Amino acid sequence: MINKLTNTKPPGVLLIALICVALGLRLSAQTQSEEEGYQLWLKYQCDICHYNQGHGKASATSNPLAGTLLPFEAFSTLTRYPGNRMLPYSEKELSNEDLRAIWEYVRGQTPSPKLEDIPILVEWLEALK
Amino acid sequence: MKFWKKKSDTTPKDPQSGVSRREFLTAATATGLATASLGQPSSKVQAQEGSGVAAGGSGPVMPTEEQEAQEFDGYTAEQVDHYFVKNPASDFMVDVIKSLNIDYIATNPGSSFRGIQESIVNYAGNNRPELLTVNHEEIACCMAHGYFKGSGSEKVMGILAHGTVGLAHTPMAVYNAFCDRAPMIIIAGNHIDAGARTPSGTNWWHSAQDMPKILRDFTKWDDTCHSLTHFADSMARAYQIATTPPMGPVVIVVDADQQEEEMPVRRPQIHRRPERTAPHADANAVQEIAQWLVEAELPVITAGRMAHNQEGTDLLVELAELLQAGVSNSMGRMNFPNIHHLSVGSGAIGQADVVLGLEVGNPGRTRQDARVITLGTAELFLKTNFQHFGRYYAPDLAVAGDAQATLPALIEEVRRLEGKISRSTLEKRKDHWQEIHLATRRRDIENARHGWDASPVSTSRLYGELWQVVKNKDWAMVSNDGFQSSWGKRLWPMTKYHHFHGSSGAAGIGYGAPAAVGAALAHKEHGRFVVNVQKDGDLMFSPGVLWTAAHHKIPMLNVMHNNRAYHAERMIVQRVANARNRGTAESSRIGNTMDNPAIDFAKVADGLGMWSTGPVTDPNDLHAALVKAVAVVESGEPCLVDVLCSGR
Repeated sequence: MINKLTNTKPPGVLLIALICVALGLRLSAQTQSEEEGYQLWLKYQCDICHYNQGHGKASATSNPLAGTLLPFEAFSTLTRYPGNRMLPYSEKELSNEDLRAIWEYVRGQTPSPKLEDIPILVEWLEALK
Repeated sequence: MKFWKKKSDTTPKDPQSGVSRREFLTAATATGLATASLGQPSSKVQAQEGSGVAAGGSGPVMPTEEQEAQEFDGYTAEQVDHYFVKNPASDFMVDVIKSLNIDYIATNPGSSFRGIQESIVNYAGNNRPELLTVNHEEIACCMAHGYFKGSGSEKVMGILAHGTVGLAHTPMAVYNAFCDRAPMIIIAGNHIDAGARTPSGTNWWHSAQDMPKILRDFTKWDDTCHSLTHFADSMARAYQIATTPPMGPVVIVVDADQQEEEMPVRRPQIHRRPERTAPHADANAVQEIAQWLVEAELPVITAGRMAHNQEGTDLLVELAELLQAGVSNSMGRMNFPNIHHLSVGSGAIGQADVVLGLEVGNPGRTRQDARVITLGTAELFLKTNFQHFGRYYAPDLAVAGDAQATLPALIEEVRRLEGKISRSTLEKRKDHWQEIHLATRRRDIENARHGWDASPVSTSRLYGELWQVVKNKDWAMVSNDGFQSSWGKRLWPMTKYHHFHGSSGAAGIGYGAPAAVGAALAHKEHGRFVVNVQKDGDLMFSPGVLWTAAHHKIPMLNVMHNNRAYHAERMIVQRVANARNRGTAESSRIGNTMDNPAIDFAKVADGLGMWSTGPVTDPNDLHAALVKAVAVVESGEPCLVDVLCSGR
């Protein structure tokens, strides 16, 4: 409620409003960052093997990355020097800045559900017993 | 060349015999066929035709000239001779086709075989053979390929190809069939006599001196027929060659004018269709194979295009269980149940001290000290220019013979010697392979969870949702899942021969959709529920086949694996760019993606007369879409569900 005499909002309401604005800005910043990361994810064609949200595990050569717990340094090392799993993305081709945005995007994705939460797969697994 | 009016539906019959001349000839033909099947030359029947009495004396009486004139709507005999073809040669050709038990002929129409086409419709009633209308000859050949496999290697489809312009549309499909050992009989029209062609124009463009040359590098046999006797002989020979392992396509060329001429007075003989046999391996070699297998410490069997039908699958199970040998199935055919405890991957080959390769070109990575036996028909090919046979592998014992045909004898030999294998050895082998089998199955099921809730839909989710709606049916998966991370083979329990049909043969794109429709046609008579997980890039080679499926009411569930790309090539080009440290952003899209605009496959199918829905992008919407589609299929129609999917 606004104090018509002072034309000011009560401190509690103001605080809530300020928190909302701050959260909104953060959310907006996050969304923007996620969108940028997603566009870079697609641009560098990570989706080919790792799917759109990084869940991919279609073959032995593609690892799921959604919700990865890898720190950026480790993620970067695996991208620059991937061993036999994939061919490298050099810094010339993919800047550290873009790579960080990709890392932030993919670690923000929800990991795949657990097997025990997927009835169809549980059914197949049970059949093996 | 003569043109004649449509035959009257109210053909008058002889009031005494109740038989028209045409019926008489048909009956005489049938009698001839029956006689032939008893081993007597049908020409005897024809020899008595002039007397008006069919063989046996109790057959139909031949109409008089006056009655015959009545049949032709009151025309005089002279007018009949002038205007009409009373007994077209192509009717005889259709009788030959019938004698080979060919139920379907796929064709895109063309004047070089119009005589046969008319005879199929008006003489044979468009029944066995029935014409299947297709929009491209590649579709016709792929359908024949899929139909043969769907029929459990029992039925061969014919194709009518219109001269040069029809035959030149077939090669890729024929090459696939050749590599996949699938027979088909391609009948190509030609205007053989240059003097009888129109002075210029299509008769010339559509003719060739050596018509089958277009396909000769990858067909088993061909011939150009100059008479009806020649046609009857060569069709029978073509069928026999095509269906004898190693099986493959054959080509028969027929003259356009000859089809439309009168039958000669003396009707040529139509041969009996022989029972097919496959070449068996030498008995001594079979004993040797059995000896090696029984003496082995850890034998493994690897199977390629081995099983022709359910019997082949059952025989391989019997042999494997006798020896408790691991079986690595390349799934060129459904050789072995993928949920059997002896079903193992190709890695098992590297563990074995004795490897038995059944219809495989190269058995794979073996131990240095392994003894390798190959049993198959690859060596029985007479010639080939194309390099489909793969790199030479030097087995320790190479045995020529059809593997399935030889298995009963091999099993008998192994049974004779099985006392030499101790029970504990068999138990040990069983435990060994079972452990590997179960570990692989568990790993595959575990890996299927990745991306389960993702959009686009993961391919493992696609197969999981599909399984839910087909698992209680007698189903047949008529597509190959090679570009879908093999989720079908990794997840679905495949136990029967008709559960899986293998690959295209030469990995030629464009095979998938039409082969699936051909296979679905074969499964229709068994009432099986047919599933085709259709690749988007493949469908765009010949989308017209959706119309053929709708037109001929061939029930099947088509589910699009729509990744909007030739995805395998995207992966490959991306790796090349990375290896060259250039253009890693975006470049692999160029030339490989099918986007901007995205193809709306539901609309494509709808426009071709097929029930459709999609694109489904949310995996949680997939089940409901599939349930609706299943209802359409169960009503006897084909349908298509477009699903936007992950790359693989």
